Amino acid sequence: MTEDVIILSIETSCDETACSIVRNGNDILSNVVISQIESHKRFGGVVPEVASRHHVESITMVIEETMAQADLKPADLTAVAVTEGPGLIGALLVGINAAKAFSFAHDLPLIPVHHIAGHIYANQLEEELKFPLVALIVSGGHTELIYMKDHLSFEVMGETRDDAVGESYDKVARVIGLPYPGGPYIDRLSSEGEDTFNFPRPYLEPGSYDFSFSGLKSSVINTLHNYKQKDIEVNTADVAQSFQQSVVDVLTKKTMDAVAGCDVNQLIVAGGVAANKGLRSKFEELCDVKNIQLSIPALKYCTDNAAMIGAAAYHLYKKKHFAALDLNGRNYIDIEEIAY
Amino acid sequence: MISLLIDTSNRPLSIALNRDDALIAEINATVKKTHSGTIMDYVDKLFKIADIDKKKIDRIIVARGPGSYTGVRIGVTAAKTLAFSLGVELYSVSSLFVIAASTGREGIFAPVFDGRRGNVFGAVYQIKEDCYEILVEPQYMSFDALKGKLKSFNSPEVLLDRDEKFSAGAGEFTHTVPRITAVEKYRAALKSEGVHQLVPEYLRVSEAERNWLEKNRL
Repeated sequence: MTEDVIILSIETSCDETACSIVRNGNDILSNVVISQIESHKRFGGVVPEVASRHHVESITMVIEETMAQADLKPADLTAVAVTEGPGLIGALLVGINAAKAFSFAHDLPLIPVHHIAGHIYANQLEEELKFPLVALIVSGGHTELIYMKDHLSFEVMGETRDDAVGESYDKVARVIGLPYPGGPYIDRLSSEGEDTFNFPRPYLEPGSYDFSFSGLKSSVINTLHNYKQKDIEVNTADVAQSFQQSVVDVLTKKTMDAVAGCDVNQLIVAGGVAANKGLRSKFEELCDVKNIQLSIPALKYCTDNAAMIGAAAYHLYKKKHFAALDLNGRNYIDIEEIAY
Repeated sequence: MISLLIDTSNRPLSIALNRDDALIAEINATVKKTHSGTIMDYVDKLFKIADIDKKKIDRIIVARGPGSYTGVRIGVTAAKTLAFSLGVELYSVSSLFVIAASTGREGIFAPVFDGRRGNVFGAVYQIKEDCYEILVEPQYMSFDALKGKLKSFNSPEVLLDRDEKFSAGAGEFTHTVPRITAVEKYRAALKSEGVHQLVPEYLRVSEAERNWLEKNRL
């Protein structure tokens, strides 16, 4: 019998202070997330300095709670994993230094994990990954289409050239008077509206899997501005539905094109925006027709969490991909860099 | 009693292991490297130089600020997590007092860190052999205001790291960088902290919060 690999992982790349213990890459022994969202709401978005301050306030408590929930001692652990990047640098540094101090104190190997790899591996907490696969990662900070032919092999097919999709949701939500974070509010409101505005679908040049949502966002803002000047009342539910339809059309079209071109066994959609009902149902419909296995992790593993970092770290542990104590945070890391 | 001391409040890094207030080993650097990359690596090296098992320390003393927000946060995060993981006591000390104590001399000292646009994070201390007095509490103020306060003291010395940027026009000062080994004998300067409760002493709310408070003032 092979020995269990029990990894404590820490994730602080944005506005969640998270820690988790995962056994053998898929068995969650504990999973603690402290969200700062209530604090950032007043600013209408995540403020990096405020996020960093909250992380340092709660980091040791979160680790202690994670150990207590799993009912484990440090001696039971195999390794410590931490999100190395990408993310808000000041926020990342809190998690990284806590992870380094913990690994030093307990003589545990330290595993640096790419945040996007974590989002993809979140799926492993519920079912095995089936290669080759295509993953669409959509969140407040990321919009990426990734091809994986095997574990830890990442090929970026496309990514955003400007705003992340979640960011566009936040900005559109603000102009139609919805609270932060915009995604869930627009999603909810859109179900009461119709696509009457027919906003542009930014497909970019033919064959490109890149994304660009800032033009769409501007189009929404300009349209609303015009209506306001002409004193015409707009139905915000129609705006929400029209915007969402454009986003969903572009995300699903590009993703399905990518899937069709790669002969894959699985499509993974993850990240906070994967919780979007409009996006989920469109993917479900399309994958059903094309007979493609669609996997969308449960909401709590779609938004930022540390269990997903532990899931990815399991494979890095097996490859002995360890960092020394001079590990530093990086606000941008090319995911292809860590491929084997 | 063995203590690990940590200061990463500004550009310099200062860490030390003391036994009964006296130095066993220290690493002080003004090299331009990020504390995030170096601090735990250097702490590891420090234990090796001192030939001491990390499990043998009794307490950790960390400079809690003011200073660079990120710098202070890294020192405090490392200290908190180490104290939590090793199960040892945690103490904090003002980063400004670290500078005053680092002179190793007696006198009236006004350590200052840049606070941008002519402002400073500063304090005034009178240091004697084994004791000290706070003449002006650590605070964020204009450098002119601090200089005004200094007029009432007998030959005060402004302490500043000449390699840090300083927006106020320093005038006469003594170049001083931190040697945190020096603080431990000043018992009253060490504040006992709860591991989970310790947060940096920024002495300023963040810019975003400042703007928000301004806009939402009743």
